[in-house]
Amino acid sequence: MDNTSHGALKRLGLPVNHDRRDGLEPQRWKIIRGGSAPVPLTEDTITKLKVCMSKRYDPATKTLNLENLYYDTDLSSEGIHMVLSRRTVMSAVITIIKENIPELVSLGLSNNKLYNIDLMSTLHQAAPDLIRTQGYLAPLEGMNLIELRLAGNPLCDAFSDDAAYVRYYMIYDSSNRNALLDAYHEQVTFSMMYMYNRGQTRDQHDFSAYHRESRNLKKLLDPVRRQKNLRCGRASVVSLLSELPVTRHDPASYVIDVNLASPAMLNFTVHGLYEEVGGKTKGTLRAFSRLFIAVPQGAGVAIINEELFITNPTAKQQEATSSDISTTPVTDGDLTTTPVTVMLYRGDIPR
Amino acid sequence: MIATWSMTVTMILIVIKKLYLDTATLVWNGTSVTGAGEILQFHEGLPSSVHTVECLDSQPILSVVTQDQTTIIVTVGGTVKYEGNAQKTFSQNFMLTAQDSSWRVVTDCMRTFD
Repeated sequence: MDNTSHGALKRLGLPVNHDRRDGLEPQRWKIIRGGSAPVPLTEDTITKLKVCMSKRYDPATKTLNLENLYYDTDLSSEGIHMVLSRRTVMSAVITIIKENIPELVSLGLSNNKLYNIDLMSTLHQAAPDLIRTQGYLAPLEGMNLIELRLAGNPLCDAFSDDAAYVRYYMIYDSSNRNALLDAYHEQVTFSMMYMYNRGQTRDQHDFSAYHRESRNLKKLLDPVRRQKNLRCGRASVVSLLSELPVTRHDPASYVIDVNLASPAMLNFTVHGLYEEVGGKTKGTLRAFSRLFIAVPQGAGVAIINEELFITNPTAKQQEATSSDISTTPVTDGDLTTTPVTVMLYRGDIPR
Repeated sequence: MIATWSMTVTMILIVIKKLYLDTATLVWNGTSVTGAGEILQFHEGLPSSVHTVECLDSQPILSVVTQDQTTIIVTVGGTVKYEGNAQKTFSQNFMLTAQDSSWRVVTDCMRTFD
């Protein structure tokens, strides 16, 4: 394995064997490069693709089902196999959608091995009414595909098949946190802790607003305080959240790890960054990890345990957000209805 | 001497393997690993490291959720230095369930802040 691959793997956070123990082969990695050499589609192929897509489109429901496109019977009989994960193919499909069915509402993409394609933005430009995609796996390695919705939204869709990804919308409001009441289970348990790492950015060191609420069992030894800082019950939790500094989150920074997704429980962690927008810590950037345990409730889920960990960001995180966050508008009240769509990919990383 | 050392290493590895349920999952900086044996192998592949725990918290999970299978979550924050890398902040969370008279790891999620 040459030095550049070694470096690249390390940057991805993948383990790399440093030592070569006697008798053991060094680890072999199969590196899948994104983007094969583009092979333009012929006019004829595009025409046939258009016909194929029209057969798979249902105007009554405005649904296009591109499931298993590679093995489409009509195309196969002509000797054509569409590899939807190839940029040229996907691009042609999106163009056809844009030109012929821009009113598209629902798109099925199952069984097309779409690991490495980021197509949400171009897709939405071609079909602005698109609200549902099935079988699309966002290019986030090793994470689970979930759009989380935690406060009543009639668009909730649960897939019960074995692909086992569940869709909801996740709503996090940074000014009116009472809207979150619905997201929490009546008997929710919440606690938080913070840490300042002197070895990282130096100027984001004021955590005083979180200190009283912090439940670091390593330092907090008083059993009364320990009990008090374990917030129980929906009202108590939401009340605390309202007291914490007002924030503006950066959804672009979100990374989500799903530990468990079973019919009884959803266990996932959101990592990301936010900026404080008021008070004496205005402009302070924080890095957070937030563990959620959610259980089914009605048509959606309710959070039953939540643990928030905050710390100062790294220099790299700070640089990456400096322009992004300040251009994201904050609108009071409107945020209660703005969904933050969080999409993840479920399954093993293709090796 | 070598025999003793490798016995100790083997014992430590056995302990790590026993800590995890057979069906446990680990998500380490986005890499997903399932199964105690696989998790053990994964850990073996990581460079040597020194972790410093700065904060730690835990919460019980309501028994009605787990159907009386006693389960808790534990979250840890601190710094870690992997051999050959600069020191980084990390956060890690575990879901532990009681089995016989010990805790077994059901889920383990670790991320370094880069």
